[in-house]
Amino acid sequence: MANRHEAVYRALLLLYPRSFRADYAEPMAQLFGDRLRDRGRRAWLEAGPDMVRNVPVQRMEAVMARVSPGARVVALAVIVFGAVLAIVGFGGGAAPLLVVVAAVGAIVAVARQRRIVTPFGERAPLRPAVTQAWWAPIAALLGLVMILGGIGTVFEAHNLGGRIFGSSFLLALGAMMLLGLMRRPFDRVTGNSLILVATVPAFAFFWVIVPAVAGLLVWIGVLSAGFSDEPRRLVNPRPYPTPD
Amino acid sequence: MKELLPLPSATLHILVALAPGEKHGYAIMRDVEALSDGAVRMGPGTLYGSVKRMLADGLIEEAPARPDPELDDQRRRYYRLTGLGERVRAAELARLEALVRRAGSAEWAQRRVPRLREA
Repeated sequence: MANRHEAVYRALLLLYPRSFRADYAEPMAQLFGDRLRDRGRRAWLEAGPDMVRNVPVQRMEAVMARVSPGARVVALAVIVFGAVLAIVGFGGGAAPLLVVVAAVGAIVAVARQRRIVTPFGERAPLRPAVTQAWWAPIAALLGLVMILGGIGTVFEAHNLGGRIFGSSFLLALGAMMLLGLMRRPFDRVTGNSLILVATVPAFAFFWVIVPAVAGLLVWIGVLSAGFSDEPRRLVNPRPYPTPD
Repeated sequence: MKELLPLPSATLHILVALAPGEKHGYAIMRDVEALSDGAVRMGPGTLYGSVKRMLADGLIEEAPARPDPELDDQRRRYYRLTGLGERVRAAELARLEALVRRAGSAEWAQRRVPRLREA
């Protein structure tokens, strides 16, 4: 009987990601076997819920281990952005979505055992952040325009098909742009990723020529400097915290 | 080290269980149960998920020496505390001791909570 239970448990271990299985499937099966000998079928009362709790955690960890830190922050920004859209744009109907977003966020945070976006105290002040490269003031201006545009249109009935979606979109991307600029002095790839993503709506409204040109300049600036460019030396640099 | 504190419950229990010496997974599981009077029961996924993170954080390491094959299964993996793990365990226990001491003190019990004004 014990062998049959162990065989079922071994089969269920396939639910864990391959990398985790490679290291721990054998000791886990062995441990379950020990438990089975001590407690009989009651071993399943622990192993079942344990699997329900831990398979998603390990799956999420495996996914996060494959993506770069920059992509991880962009993914988090997209989740936050989705939450903002859900709250502002879709009201109470967004509750199930928010639960999923919160669960994914919690799993990611727990899985990494560290903060994904550094706390506010570690970010550069905005002023040095916008003087670090020739295109940074343009990016900051674009971000500010998006935020002001979002605030300005939030009460209008006719923005983007009469929904509040467009305003939330602008607010979130404007915030993403400023966050990217503040993040850049510490982590080029992450900061640049956020800035590039936040610039996209400037191209979406290409018929409004000024933001499109500004967006283009920002992209040229980021990409011509290399995606992980080193900070430009300021003539009269202002001190701000540096990463360890 | 400070960034690791406060520890998740499972991590602390494993560190405490490993304090006397190296143990394999099932021994850790049983000792955690005994330590907590049966209140904390870890399944295999929780145990090895925690072990994986603790190995990555450098809190524990796999013990290279295997027991006598006649006494135990050679496939078992044994784990032991690292120096960092020992320090983190001590720091977390000190933190919890201070919390318990403060929570039980008369000074804390008599602390006045400002009352909300009624509307």
